[in-house]
Amino acid sequence: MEDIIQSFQEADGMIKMQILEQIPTPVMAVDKEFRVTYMNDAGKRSVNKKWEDISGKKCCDIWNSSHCNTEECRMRKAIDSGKMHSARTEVIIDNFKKPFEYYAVPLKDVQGNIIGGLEFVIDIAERIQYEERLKEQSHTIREMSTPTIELWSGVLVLPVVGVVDSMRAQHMIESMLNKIAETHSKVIIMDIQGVAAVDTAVANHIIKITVATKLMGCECILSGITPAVAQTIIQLGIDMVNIKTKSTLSDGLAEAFKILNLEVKNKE
Amino acid sequence: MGDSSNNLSTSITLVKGCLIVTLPNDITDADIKVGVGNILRRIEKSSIRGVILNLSMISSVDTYLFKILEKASKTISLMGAVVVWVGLRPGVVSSLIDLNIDASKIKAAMDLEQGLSMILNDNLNMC
Repeated sequence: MEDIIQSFQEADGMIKMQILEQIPTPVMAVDKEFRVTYMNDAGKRSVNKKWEDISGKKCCDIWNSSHCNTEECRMRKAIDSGKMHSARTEVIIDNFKKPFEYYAVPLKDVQGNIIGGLEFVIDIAERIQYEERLKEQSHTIREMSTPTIELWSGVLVLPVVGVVDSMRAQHMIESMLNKIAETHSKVIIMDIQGVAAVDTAVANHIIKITVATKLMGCECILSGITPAVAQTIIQLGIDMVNIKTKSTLSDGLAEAFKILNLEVKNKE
Repeated sequence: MGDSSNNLSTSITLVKGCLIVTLPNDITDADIKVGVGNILRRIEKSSIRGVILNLSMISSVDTYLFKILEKASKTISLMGAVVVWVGLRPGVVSSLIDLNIDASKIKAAMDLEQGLSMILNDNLNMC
């Protein structure tokens, strides 16, 4: 094993060059004046240029990225500081904007003086696409997960389904308060039938929501409490005495009508 | 009337036996102190059923301002008047919730109309 390492160490420049050439992402070396001294095959392919057109030219003329010739240039930072720097940027190739991530490291001679820099470039177009899709989807889910419905004039319903984490609770408070302000509602029914489990954190969020509605001058009724949830709340010792709780949504609505002095009657 | 000239930043109006106090956005604790003094004197002079604090102009409330307002409300309720906070903005409420304030002793209403009916009904119940 050591023999192999040693024979590799002693290998001539051609083999080392070949190794660099075979790396599938662009690799580029520049001197201190940012003139390109080396670029591997993948690099030449991605900028769509021949070595004759690249050799000795300034790297900003070849890449033309949004960081070129600005303070943002990580290669400049790497050469100035002697440390590795990385960033995301956009490069215009054949009139197309392409997102890239690049890592710049300084190159040193035997004495340790910085003589230039080496740059690794990674095409992140696909990753960016995925990230954007994920952002879009989480936004959609968030919007879907917190609908506040005006069930009756002055009565709002907030059905809660799934898991209540602090992010979602925050979003619920916001959408609910805005809806209360918009509709001037006096009662809001929060239906937690769809919440699988209630622990102290979830209960805490619920209590916070009821306090918020109270400050808006709106009464909060908690409905959809299943036997299992009721038992866990008592076992956990959570104080919900100040909150009106009902077992079903229809009981909640009946309570809301009582608060609003409304009556539902059979037609004679 | 001489009292209220000290304090031009808050307006105090009497409607149906209730004092409606509108607080400006840039209210200070000194303003509140003077305002509370005025309100207490008016309650002493004439029978006032309740006091409505209109906070709809206030765009942000920190714990300090909240404590001062809470203290003011307690002082007024000691004189036998019902205190109702009115018109808290959604943004103010959510920031207060983030600050983990205790709102159990506060009566709040959506708008002036609901606040007024709250005070009038409250007094009816007590009779």
